[in-house]
Amino acid sequence: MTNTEIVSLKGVTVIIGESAVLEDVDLSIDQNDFAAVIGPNGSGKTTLLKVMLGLLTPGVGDVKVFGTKAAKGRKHIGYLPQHSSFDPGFPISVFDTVLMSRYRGFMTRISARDRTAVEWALEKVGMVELANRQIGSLSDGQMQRVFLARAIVREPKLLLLDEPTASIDPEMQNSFYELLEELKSKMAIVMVSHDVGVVFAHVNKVVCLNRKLFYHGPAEGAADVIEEMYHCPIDLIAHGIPHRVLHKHKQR
Amino acid sequence: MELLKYEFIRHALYASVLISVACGVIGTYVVIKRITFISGGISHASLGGIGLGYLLGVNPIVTAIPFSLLSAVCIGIINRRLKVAEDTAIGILWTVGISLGIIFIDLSPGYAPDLMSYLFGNILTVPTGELVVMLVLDLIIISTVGIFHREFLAISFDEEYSSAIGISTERLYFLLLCLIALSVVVLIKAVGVIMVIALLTIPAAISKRFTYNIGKLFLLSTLTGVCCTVAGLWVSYMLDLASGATIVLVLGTVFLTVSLVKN
Repeated sequence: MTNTEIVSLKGVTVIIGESAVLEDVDLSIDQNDFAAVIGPNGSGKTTLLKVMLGLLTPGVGDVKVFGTKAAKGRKHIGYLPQHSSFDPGFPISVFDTVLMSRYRGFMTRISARDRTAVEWALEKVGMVELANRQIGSLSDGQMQRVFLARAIVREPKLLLLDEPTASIDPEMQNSFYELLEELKSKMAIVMVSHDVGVVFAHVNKVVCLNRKLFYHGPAEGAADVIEEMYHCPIDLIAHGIPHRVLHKHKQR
Repeated sequence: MELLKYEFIRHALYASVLISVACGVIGTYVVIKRITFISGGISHASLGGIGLGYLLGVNPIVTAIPFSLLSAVCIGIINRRLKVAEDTAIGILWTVGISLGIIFIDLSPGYAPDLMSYLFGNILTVPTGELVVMLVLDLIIISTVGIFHREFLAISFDEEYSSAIGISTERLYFLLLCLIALSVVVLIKAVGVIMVIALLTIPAAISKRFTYNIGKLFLLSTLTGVCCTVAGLWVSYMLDLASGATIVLVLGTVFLTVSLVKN
């Protein structure tokens, strides 16, 4: 796989209401990147992913995804949102929830290959046994796994994950990172996360965001920037004391 | 059985089947997408179309079609484009539509015959022409759902994710609202504009307790619709009660019973 640029953001500014959520962001993601997006709450991480997906169009700046407009490029993207707002009583099985994501456009039919892909994705996240369950009957962690399957079932070239480990247990987290290690040879991964310590062991690129882009490069060089951005030493963040991070941040 | 020798009874039975198809299919979306009150808004606003029919001297069912389609599009635009909260948009459209209907009827020369049957329904007075209109609308509804089923299911589940996988969420939402508008027209004769939401929600709400497969839900809601309207019709005939209200009460009773038993 050649290392070509698949996402390019130039001077992207997003204004929601009165305030800028992203300001003058330049960012580049390559085909074999595994990138972590780090930043305090409200720093625009989710907005950044939505810009790549074309769900938000920036007021200023240029977005290219797979060399084209984000709304077109997103057919190569698998997306795991931070929150999914849906009715827990919704009449759909786990299998059909994942199958829905194989949508390829108007008047396309569901093929045998789509079904095989769903089985593969459910297998990868360890949810095959629960394929026939109604979606709302799952626990939060199980649901998160189904939504991960829903993202990878698209066989994307770019996987966008918004705080994927927030509701899964530690054991699942390990197998989750194993899965990402396996997937990263096939697709670029951009992951929003707060687990700075764990994430750094896996990624090759770190994006530090706090409305503006503070750092964008190899993980090794990121520590100082993160300390500055969170206004506290990296080991506090890395050892997972998020309330300390938040506390310091508020006092700024 | 001997009742079947009356033409109006036979028509009422045909009408029951036709309304049940609309409420089984579109009612399912109304319930799973949780847009009951948007549907209520569209149905009440369609009174404007009924009034227009009186004013122009044509069958109010015919004028109700473009009028409810227009109100569906308006409710969508007020809600999505003007950034007005959904419940506010519903409140505006609901009352403006009814007001237009009242003014149109006011302006119509003479007395408005059958007005009550449009407000509260009278399934015993469905002429052949209206049965044909209902059949055509049903066919439009079924074929559109046949084409856009995957998209409708996805936007009902999660609109933002649907956009992320390349579905034109807003256009399809507007299309779904238009199908609701057409269903409203199919249902008006049975229960009237006031009670249309009963048929759009209760059969699907009952059926949702038995299956979480959407295909089965369509079928089961349609069957529930047929059984409850025919039962309501029979009860109203035997006890000499208003048919629309009786049908809604039968639906309500079945819903309550099923809910109690299933819990």
